[in-house]
Amino acid sequence: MLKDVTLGQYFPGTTVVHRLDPRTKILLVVLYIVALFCAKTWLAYLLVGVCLAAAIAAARIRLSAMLKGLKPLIFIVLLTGLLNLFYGRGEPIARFWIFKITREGIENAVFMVLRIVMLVMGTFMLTYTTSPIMLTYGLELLMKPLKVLKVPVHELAMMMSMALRLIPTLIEETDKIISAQKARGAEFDTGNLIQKAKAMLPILIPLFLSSFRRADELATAMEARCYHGGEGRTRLNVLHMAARDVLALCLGAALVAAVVVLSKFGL
Amino acid sequence: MDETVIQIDNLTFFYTPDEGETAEDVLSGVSLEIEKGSFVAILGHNGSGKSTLARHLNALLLPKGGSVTVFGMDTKAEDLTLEIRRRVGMVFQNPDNQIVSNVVEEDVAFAPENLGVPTPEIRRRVDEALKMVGMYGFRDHAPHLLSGGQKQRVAIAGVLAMRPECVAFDEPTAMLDPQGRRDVMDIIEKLRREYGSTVILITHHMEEAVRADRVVVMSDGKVVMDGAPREVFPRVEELEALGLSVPETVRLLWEMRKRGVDLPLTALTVEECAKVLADRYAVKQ
Amino acid sequence: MNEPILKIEHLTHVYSQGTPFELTAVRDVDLEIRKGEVLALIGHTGSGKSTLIQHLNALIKPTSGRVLLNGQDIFESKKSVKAARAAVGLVFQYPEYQLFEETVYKDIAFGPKNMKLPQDEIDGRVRRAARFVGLEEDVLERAPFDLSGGQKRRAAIAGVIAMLPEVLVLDEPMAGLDPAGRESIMENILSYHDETNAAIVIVTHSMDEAARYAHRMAVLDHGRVAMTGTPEEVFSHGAELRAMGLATPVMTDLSERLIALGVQVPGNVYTVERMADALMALERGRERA
Repeated sequence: MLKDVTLGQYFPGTTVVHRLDPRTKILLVVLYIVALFCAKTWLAYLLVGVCLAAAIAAARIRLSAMLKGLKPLIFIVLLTGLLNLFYGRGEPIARFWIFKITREGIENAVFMVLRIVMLVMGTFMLTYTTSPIMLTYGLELLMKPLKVLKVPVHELAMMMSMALRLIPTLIEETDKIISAQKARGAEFDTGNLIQKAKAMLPILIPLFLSSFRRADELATAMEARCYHGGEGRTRLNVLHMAARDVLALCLGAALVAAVVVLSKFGL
Repeated sequence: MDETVIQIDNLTFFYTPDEGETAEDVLSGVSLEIEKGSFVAILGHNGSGKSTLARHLNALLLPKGGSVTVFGMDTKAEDLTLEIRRRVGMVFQNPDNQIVSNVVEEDVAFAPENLGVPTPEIRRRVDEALKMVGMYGFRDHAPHLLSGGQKQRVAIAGVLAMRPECVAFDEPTAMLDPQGRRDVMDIIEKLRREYGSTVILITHHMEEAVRADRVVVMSDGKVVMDGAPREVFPRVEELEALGLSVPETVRLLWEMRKRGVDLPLTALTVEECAKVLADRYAVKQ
Repeated sequence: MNEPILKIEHLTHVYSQGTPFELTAVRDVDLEIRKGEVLALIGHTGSGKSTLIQHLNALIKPTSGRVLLNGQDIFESKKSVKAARAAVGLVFQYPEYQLFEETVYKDIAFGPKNMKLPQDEIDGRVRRAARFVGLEEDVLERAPFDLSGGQKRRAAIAGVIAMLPEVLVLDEPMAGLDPAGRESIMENILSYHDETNAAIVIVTHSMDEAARYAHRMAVLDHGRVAMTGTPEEVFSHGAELRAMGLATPVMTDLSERLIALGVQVPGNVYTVERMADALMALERGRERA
């Protein structure tokens, strides 16, 4: 069911990870991704993995929730793994028909799968532990320098936070429309591609219309609550970098450095 | 004489028509004065113009003819729009479409943030508003996981955080269950009692309108009845002709009257109605 | 007593099993829907009403338990699911938001078309369904989005009625309408019931309307069936209903108060008509005295 989609979901909490400044968390994720792409050896992967596991444990996110988030990506992950498995160079250790599997291929496949899974899990950590409003607030502050280039930073951030706000509502709505059309005998999984695409219309048209209606009502409600752009806005939660943020960023930088060193020496 | 907080003079409004079509008045010549601290219920069939009228109170819509003056400010004055919206809060029918954040307290903070209220003061207002509607315990919850009634209470808190002097409710209970409906009505009473707020309530529920001290009935963009509930509701046949109904208590008294028993139609609440009937039918010891 | 057309046996439904969001929406529910009855299903928000009714036409599968349509398990095969979809019509809340075709006619025809009926049969059903909900012929060729709110609601209900279900389930069909709109929609639904003898299940928050129209009521509380019975039986448990976050009809409240004030009305009065009857009996007593 669509209700089970956890993408972009936020799990409220009060752990250290939750309390980190959103800017810190965004930067940490960037550092984490850099580290992940620099990692070339088992030891480097292990190090990044340990950091991820520590962060997950510190944020008290259940592993089941993490794995659930990965579910929609299983196909992509497996496909990448398989492709890498068969495209390795070097001495084949097994072969059948036109395929050959090499030691390097196996290694590549495992690395690629690990990389994608860890990449996704790392970014999930950001959305699981940061409320969308704080996330966009953090982004807005980080992008502030772009204002000089006349980039509408506040508007972009607001648009993103509204989109995140509407995701759960629209998912619920989609579920309901699908059920309602099914109740009228609609079938979505039979026929050829064109028939299948046509069968989506009874879902897409109402969804489109209702998104417009919601957006319109939401805009009215925002205006009624004195929204008038970013000018002169204050905040309930003002961000300041605490000692833990500096510490966390140092650790992040240290991780990247360690991974680079490890990979350089081929350990 | 009580102070008038909202003054509507000969208000006319229509949506700009598509090319080749003629404009149809949604409101035609509405005049209304609302006094400070009063509780006004607005009734009318779907499409009678009630919501359009409400949207004029905080400059969401501007008059095409006539004028709307709120706390002495003409709603057409653009530089006063924010001040008008701060003083006249508005709660809408669908709580899902008025909540802007994925966290309850961040949502309640939205209006004061827009108004540039200093951070410590926002915190104070958010906490106070959430306590007022009984949702303080849910301040770090995600709104989409709350029940409809709880969401609507969060939406009300979001409006109260502006510290408005007048709150207009546009069918706030239409999507709620009986408990949710009771909660919203209790908050309205509390608002009047504790803050002396002026309340305007658009509703289809006659039992809610009974609790107001004035009932305005609209039909086809005009005000057709205006008076205390005990003046308006006895006009059973007129109200039914307008596509409205009367409270069940009045329906009963009307039915008795049709059967030849003359009882006053002014006993609106269950208590009043029971008293009228007990005077006539109670077994005297 | 009529025989049951739908039988729900030990039905339990758990959402998001095994996640932090796990939620048991329906718990061990047993319920019958009988041929030709009007059943009101009431309960607070989150009591499991919406989840329960989506089981009736096999839209969602029970975690455990069964739903029997004329004695046959509706989840048994693809065919039985299809049969359930046709036999049990489900109108969701605010059904007008699911309209999608260019004309009202085409939208109403969507259901019958999916049932693969012959063209003339579809045409007949569309016109009949439109008549049931009081839509004029000329409305059929208009775009659904040009209609008024009340007309859209009617068109959407007609879209389900056109499948001629033996059980018509409606989730708050009157929500958001004005009093006249509520009454006329309810009359439309009852006319379908009278003409076809279909069973009607109506989910509502309005106790006064449940009192006026239902033959039987089922009360859900936290996913369980807390009470079933005639409105008379159910409304005699006023205090329990209020404790579940529900209301009682105004006339029930009034009769409780009248009895406390020493007026000898029966304790099971819940509609205006019955209250007037009871009071008229007292009136005649007064005249004799």
